[in-house]
Amino acid sequence: MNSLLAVVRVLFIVLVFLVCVICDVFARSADNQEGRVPRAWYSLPEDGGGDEELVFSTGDRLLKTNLLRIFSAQRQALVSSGVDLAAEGLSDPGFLKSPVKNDRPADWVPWRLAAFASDLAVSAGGQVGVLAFKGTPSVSVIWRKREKAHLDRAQAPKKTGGIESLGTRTVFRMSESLRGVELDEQIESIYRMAKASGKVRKTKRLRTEISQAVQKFREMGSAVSASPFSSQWYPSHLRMDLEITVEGRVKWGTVGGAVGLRLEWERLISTKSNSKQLKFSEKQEGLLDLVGAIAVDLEATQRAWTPANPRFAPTLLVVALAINAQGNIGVARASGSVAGMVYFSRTPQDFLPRLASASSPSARFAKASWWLIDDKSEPRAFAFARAGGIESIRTKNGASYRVARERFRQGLKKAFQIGDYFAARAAESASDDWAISEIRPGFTMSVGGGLGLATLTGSATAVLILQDTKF
Amino acid sequence: MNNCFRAKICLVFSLGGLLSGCAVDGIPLLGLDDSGEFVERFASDRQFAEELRLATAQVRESTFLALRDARHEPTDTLRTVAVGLGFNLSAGLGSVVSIGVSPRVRFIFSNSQVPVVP
Repeated sequence: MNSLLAVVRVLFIVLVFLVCVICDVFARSADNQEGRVPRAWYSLPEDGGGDEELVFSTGDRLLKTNLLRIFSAQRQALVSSGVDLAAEGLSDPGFLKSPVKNDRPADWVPWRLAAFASDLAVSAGGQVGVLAFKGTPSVSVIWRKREKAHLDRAQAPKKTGGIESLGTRTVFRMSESLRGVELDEQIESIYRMAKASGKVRKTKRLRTEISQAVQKFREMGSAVSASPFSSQWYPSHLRMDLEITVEGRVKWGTVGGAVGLRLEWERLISTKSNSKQLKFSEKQEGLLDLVGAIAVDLEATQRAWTPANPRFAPTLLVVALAINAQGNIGVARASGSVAGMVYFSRTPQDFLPRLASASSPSARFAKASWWLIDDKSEPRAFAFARAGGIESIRTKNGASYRVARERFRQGLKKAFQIGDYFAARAAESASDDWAISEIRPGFTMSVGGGLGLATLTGSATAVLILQDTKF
Repeated sequence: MNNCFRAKICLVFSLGGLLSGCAVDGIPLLGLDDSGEFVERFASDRQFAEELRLATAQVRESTFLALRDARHEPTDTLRTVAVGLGFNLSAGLGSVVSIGVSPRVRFIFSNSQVPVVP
């Protein structure tokens, strides 16, 4: 009798435990909306939601709590991970100090862990967490160590022409002023690099191909430089990726080449617009319209926007570029078609007073339009564009959509607000040693021009960078 | 029911409740698995911070050693080193099972006062 009672008791305990487990599974699988970002943040109109005109709503309390606990755990790990260099046998003067004092760059300091970056992800259902598996990051978070001595950012060393290696892609930097013998030397360096790789079989026309590509890139760069300064934002930098094929041909884009090449154009800051003096090709005019219009829209968005968290400010917008079948350059809608990037920077504060006498953005850029280029032709997106009266071109290799400026501005406003939300949580998480200095939310663009926070399965073709201005 | 049995029942309820709470409470870890399916797990705050601390300390030491050993190489113009890795965590799968996950992070070492974060 006693043994039967014991068996019953054990079975009862097991049953209670199983009930707990089942309740847990049901709780987890329930369609619980807490702790998620609002649907309007990430859902695009062509996907059945996310009208940019919706009143912006911030997430609930659990979303805030989750973000704060992620940042808190990261801060705790960074603060407590310090290593005593002497104890590790790393206090060797040859390591901590530059071997030749006279050779030290002006901003030289001993090696140290200066920054830490991690990615947050947003699921298709709006859940937010640390990106721990595969998928597209939605928001990158950059932590920096607080240091006593800081150089004025304006005194930071300027990037100069030169070649450096970045993964499998060789980077070729050109400032706007680089020309003549220096430019020829850089072209020759690229030629030698490609030849020495042993991956390019036919090199007879290689030097000419590289030279032509560089010339074409410089033409694109000059279109970027020709766009006028608005008072607070300007297109500052152009990056294009190219591939040198086995046959020694140079192609724009990032797919299928033997040697990767990256060309970087750095614009010199100036109050003068030379768009009226220069004669541009149709394609250059298209790029000029694109960068001029985006700069004007950024300016308008900035002016109309009041940040909830003024400590962090948007300082950079990076937009992916693509080239369509007609050879026109536009904004990329999917990451597979990205051929380069254009960067929009905030004009330095000390430069703003001089802009008072500069020409204001012309009426041309207030009305200019540009293309959104997709390497796929999604029937649903194309049907949405047609139904909405959006001018669109469909080919075998993708589709292009004429972007509505008003929708793009609304998308920018939403992007600013989303960045501001994450920045506010970042500002709450600082310590004396480490603090989040940058928040980089990534966005997907809708066929109408709106923006939505990139999700795990999406692609981010525009990134807004918000920086802690008091760091 | 005797006291011992009551105590066991309470213990099981507490344990079940605790595990249940832990599974949906903590730091959310998201992503897509190899077949593209959405995956969500939770790690305790303490475990997340501790594993990240260990990874940070180890990466810092390894990178400093590598930089010290390379200081006589022609790398005088080396200004910034970015190291990306996934640190290991044990995260909740339902109430009673845990799996290993690797959130990816990047560490940026520099000898520049104003390092560029890639």
